[in-house]
Amino acid sequence: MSETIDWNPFGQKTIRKCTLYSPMCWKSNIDLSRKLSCISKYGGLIALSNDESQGSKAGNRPDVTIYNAAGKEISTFRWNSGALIGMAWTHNDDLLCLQEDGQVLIYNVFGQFQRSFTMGKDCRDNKVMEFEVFIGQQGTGLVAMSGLFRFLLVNNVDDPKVRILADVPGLKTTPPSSWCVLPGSRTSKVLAANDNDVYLLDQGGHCSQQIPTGLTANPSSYISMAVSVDGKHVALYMNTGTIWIGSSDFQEKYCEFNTNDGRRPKQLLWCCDSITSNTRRLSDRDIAIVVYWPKTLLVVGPKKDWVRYSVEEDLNVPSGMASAVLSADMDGIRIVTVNRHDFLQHVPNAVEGIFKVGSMAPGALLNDAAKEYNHQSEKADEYLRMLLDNGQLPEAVEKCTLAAAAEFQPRIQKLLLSAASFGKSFVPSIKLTDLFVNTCQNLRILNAVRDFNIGIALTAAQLQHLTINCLIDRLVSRREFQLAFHICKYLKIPEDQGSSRILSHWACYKVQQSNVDDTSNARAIRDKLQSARGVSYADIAEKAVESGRKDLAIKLLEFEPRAAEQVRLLSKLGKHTLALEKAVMSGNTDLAYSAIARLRERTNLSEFLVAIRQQPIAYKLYLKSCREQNEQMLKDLHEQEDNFIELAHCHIHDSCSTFRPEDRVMSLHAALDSFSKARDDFGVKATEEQLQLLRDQTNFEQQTDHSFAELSMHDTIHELLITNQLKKAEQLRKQYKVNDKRWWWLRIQSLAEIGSFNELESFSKSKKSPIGYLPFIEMCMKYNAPGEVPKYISKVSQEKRVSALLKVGNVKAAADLAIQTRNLVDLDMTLKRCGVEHREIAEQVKGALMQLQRR
Amino acid sequence: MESFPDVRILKAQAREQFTILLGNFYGKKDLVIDPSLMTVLDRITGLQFLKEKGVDKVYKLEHKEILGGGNKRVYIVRPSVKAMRHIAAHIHSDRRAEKMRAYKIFMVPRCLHVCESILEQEGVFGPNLIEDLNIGFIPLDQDIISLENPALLNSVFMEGDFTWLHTVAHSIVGLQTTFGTIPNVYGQGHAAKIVESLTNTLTSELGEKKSPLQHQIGHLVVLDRDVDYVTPLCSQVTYEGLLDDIFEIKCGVVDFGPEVTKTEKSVKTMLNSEDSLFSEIRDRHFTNVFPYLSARAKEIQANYDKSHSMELKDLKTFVSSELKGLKQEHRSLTLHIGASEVIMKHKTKGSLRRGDLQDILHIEHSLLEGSDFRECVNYIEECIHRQYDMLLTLRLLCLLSCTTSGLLPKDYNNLKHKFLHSYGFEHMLTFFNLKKAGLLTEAQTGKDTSIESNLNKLADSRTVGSAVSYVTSSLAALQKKDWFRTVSKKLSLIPKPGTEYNLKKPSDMAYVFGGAYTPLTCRLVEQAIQRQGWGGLEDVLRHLPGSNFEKLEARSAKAGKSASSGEQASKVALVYFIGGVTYSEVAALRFLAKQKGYRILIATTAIINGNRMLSSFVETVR
Repeated sequence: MSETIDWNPFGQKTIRKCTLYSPMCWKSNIDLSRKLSCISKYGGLIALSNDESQGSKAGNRPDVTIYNAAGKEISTFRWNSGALIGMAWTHNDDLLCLQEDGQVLIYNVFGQFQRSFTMGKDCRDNKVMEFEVFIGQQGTGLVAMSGLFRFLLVNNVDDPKVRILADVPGLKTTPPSSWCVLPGSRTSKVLAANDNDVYLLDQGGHCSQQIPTGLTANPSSYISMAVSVDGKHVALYMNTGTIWIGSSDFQEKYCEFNTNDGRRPKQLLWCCDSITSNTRRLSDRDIAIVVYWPKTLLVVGPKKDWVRYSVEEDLNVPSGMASAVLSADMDGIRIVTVNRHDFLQHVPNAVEGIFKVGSMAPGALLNDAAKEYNHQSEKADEYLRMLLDNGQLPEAVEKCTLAAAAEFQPRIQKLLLSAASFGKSFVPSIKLTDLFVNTCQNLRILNAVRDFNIGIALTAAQLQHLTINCLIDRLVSRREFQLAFHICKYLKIPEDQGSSRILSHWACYKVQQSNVDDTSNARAIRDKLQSARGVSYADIAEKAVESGRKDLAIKLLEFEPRAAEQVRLLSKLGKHTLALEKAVMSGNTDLAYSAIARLRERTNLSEFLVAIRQQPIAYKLYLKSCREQNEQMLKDLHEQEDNFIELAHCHIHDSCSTFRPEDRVMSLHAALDSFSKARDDFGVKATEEQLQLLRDQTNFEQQTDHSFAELSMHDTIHELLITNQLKKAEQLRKQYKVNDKRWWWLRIQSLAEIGSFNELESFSKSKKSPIGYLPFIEMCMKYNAPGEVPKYISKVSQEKRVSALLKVGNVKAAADLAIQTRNLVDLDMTLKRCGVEHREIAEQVKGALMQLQRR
Repeated sequence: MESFPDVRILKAQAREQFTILLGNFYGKKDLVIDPSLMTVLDRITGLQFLKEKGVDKVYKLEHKEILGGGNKRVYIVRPSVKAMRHIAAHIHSDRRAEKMRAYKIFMVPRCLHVCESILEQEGVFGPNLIEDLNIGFIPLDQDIISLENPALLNSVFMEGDFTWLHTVAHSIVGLQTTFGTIPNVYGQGHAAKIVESLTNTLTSELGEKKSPLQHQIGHLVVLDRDVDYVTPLCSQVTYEGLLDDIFEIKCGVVDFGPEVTKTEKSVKTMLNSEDSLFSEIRDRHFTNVFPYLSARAKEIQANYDKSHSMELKDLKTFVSSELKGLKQEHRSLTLHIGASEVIMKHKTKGSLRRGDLQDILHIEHSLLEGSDFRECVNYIEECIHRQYDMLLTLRLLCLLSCTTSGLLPKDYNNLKHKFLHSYGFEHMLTFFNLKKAGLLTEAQTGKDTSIESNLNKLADSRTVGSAVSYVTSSLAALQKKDWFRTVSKKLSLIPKPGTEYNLKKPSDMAYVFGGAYTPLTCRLVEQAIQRQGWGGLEDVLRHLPGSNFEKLEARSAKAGKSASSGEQASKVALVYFIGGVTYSEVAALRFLAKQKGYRILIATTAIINGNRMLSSFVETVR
């Protein structure tokens, strides 16, 4: 059966070595044995470098090449720094390179330098001998061993704090015979062996000897050791060829296995499922230790089960040299050789149950049933009935679905999914349907990313652990925008987290490409992003700025709907004028004000004025702020603009806000000047008059002790009149051409005010009043002289008398007069004015009205 | 009025924000409040509330320093230059006195860049000093919401500073998030247009967080105040309008002095629809108020009398149930009768400073009708000569200008000259301001030369775009010659002279001005809602200042499944006055709503009347 062709029985379990890619995309003359190499977890990125110590032609300048899991080159870069001693992948797919002097440089998959840090003085002075990178709970960690055989630990390379671990007791001139990192939850430790003593070193300076439980062999040295990815299991390889396998606290021994091979293994690593291990009992755990010597791969289980694989070594490599590279992943081991990329793992339970020879597990039955159904055989019914009778059908569907997910070949995936689908039609269960749909989606994505062009060789379990979002991020960081975009669309991820975000990333990348001209680049970005919602053009533009493409950034900012962002960035780019324009267009004047202020700070005055005049709204705003804060500037602006009317009013404003007469006169003269420049005759005249008035007032003040400050022309005359200075008043009257009406008002009012009612009477007779005689009556009433009223009532024309009386509030007299004259209109008017206060009069008037109407 | 959009929620929102801001500033603190915000804060909080939030003392913001108080102080101010200078002076004086204090400045509704720069200049700016206290609408009543920002009128229509329009747009966005997106929007005026586009921008900046709410408001009508200056320039004759003109209503609260209460104390009274008596008379023409009050007085008396003849048992229920209500009504009745008497006095007696209301009304009506031009000018001259209250004189002057689309230069100069003689030369500035605002203008005589000169001027600055727009606007100005006459004819705002108007049973909105004039704004609202847009009104609108716009929802969507609630909402309209609304317009719109079965919610930037509107343009330099 083809499904089990790569299976090997492994005790009670089965182990399989699946081929992920074969042949590899790289050139077949690639020499893995002579290179520094590393393979990443979750996806299998491969980085290779010419091993310097081998003395290649490049000398101190090796090339570092990064391949995807299928060996397709992603990037290559020339190593330009110091002596490179090794490379490793961090948990977020960055390449970490360690130099001999303890300098750590981090690159992304495209070989672009990201950042660096150093492992400290010890490493610089004494050189780094060996190092190991591990993935702990805090991220990617690094342990380096310096030339003094001291261990230096960094728990998280994103936050590099170097800690020095305790020394290994008894080490003098020889390095520890073997060591490895034991990742822990808060801080990690190192296991190191000095010949046949094993020590656990931690950062507190503690060092404790570990004694493997139940060790029967008697080695003189531990020559290799390995800790599983989850840090739970440990394997010690002795010079006698015996492996002690047990828990990492050395309290439990799983077994001791004698390989009868005392050579130091090329690689020793664990193949275990560290993703689901927590949920299973120890006995069920899929763990195995893998030992690699040239040409041979030995897999040993905890119960002394073993399998031996032969490794196809590179023919170009001198015999005895190992050319394969192994790397432990979360649920298996990656084995990369020149021709293939294999994956060694325990066969997942679901798969095992289905394809194991003679299996009667529910999954297997359902698979058979589906197969028979396709052959139109009645056996299908038989198998199905067995499942239904035992109530195992749901389990069978689940197993088939899970098995499909764990398979690498689409052919087998399809086979299992169709079996699951067949069984599912007899089980109405939402849960199973969800599982089925999710699995189909995940498989579709997995198959897409496993394509050799993308080359992310993930297992289903890894994908689940990594999460889809993380996978999308990785695709983005590998610039696989299209695939990421389609995955987002396919999974219907909300736009702002999904497709729009991808497009933003794409655009950010796009703006960094310098081979496309700005206009077409901006257009291309706009075309793509037009339909996407929630894209921040400002962010993209910021990226463009970072890569020194200002013009492109400005073009992109055209599309930014958020004015605040737009303006902020434009200002940052020094495009103050444009920023101002945009700020004005946004209608948010506050933004405009800040843009104006920035423009003012950054440019000289004349440039500033030229710029701001081109924006009428901004200009207005600037005027307003000047009015509040800088009046001189305001005047200068008006002057330059030949806006003399405004300028004149500014001067008037000044003259009104000062109390010092000389300043006031000066301002008024300035206003006069401006008015005449503006050819505003009225303004000229009025200002001249005001100046004259001020002069007159000063004169009067000198002649009398009265103050005329702040008085209008009218009030000045009034003041003169009530102080009996008729002559001066007459003089003013002439000077300011005060018309008769106003004059009469003034006279009547002031005479009544000072109580000169006789004079008032003679004044009334001096000439025919141009304002009638009602004002006389009003003034008499106002200044408490009702007795004077009759003198003038006769002068009021007959028909207006009643209304005149009413006007001055003499309702009684009005009523009497109206009743006397029997005028219907007057009576009516009087009645209306009676209101509640004059009930009696109202009655009288009513009576009179009734009489009139009766007639 | 059931299912009216409940605007009380806006007050709760403002209060909540205030609470959070106060809460973030731990401990006991003193408040220093901008005088113009006093009443506003009063409306949303109250003293008890402040005490609960740890407020110790409350001061008014003045230039005078406040050295007392605790070590934490909160300033609540409008973002004005003046307020910033005061605050800076306070902080400096504290520093001189070596008084350590923590400060916070709450800016209503938001901090402006100028404020920061001033504080920076003064050297008192620091991190976390300023917080935005976004008090938007204050619900003055169940159908009026106001930003209570009278400064907007001046800054938008005179200075051309659109800072506050951003606030207006913000308030609309806020309303839409609370009450759902308003599908139909109609607007008239320059500012309205800007607000509309700002609203769209702000909404799109908010992202697609479309409120899932069913919209509760079907129409939004946005009107600029400068579309209709005539209405606020007329003397008000509805009860509430008169109260505002005579006693001045602040933030929905009126302060009745001793002349009303007939006691020594003055009484602050909340004027809103919760007072059933007031809600009955507020919108009446004043002639109909007194008869109603006296009838009501009799009723109450009868109810009191009833108790005399009651059995003991009945009396008990009477006391427990009715008496309280009666007492309350009694109190309110006394106040309103008192107020009416004062109004009456104003109306009939006139005064030497204010002239005779009847005469003024007569002049106003003549101006509206466009008759007896000379008589009106003469009357205004008389006002000037007699030095009547300046705002009154100015009001008539502006009304004269607005109804005749600008005075002839001869009249303009003549009146201005006399005005300056009477009230002082500094009013050159007032005239200048009013001209800029378009309230008191000089009609263009030499049309051609003026445009030419403008063109020449602009050609120099080489801004062709603005030159073109300037030309078009100048041309528009030409068309607008005598626009008030044209518009009032087309919209039949003014009844034919000689027709009697029944004020007892009004048949249209004109009753708010004694049947002489239907407020232009209200007619526009009526037409917009009725026609669902401006269609067919083009030849009216082109005479009005500013441009117009309409945004209608797709008809097909309306016919969809949301029909039931959509239909309800389509009867609800929000009318937004940029630059303020008068109580007369409010009354007219209420009348319209009742007549046509709409619900009209009025939003405004402030409640204004003629005097308040004009005084914001009068230069007070000293």
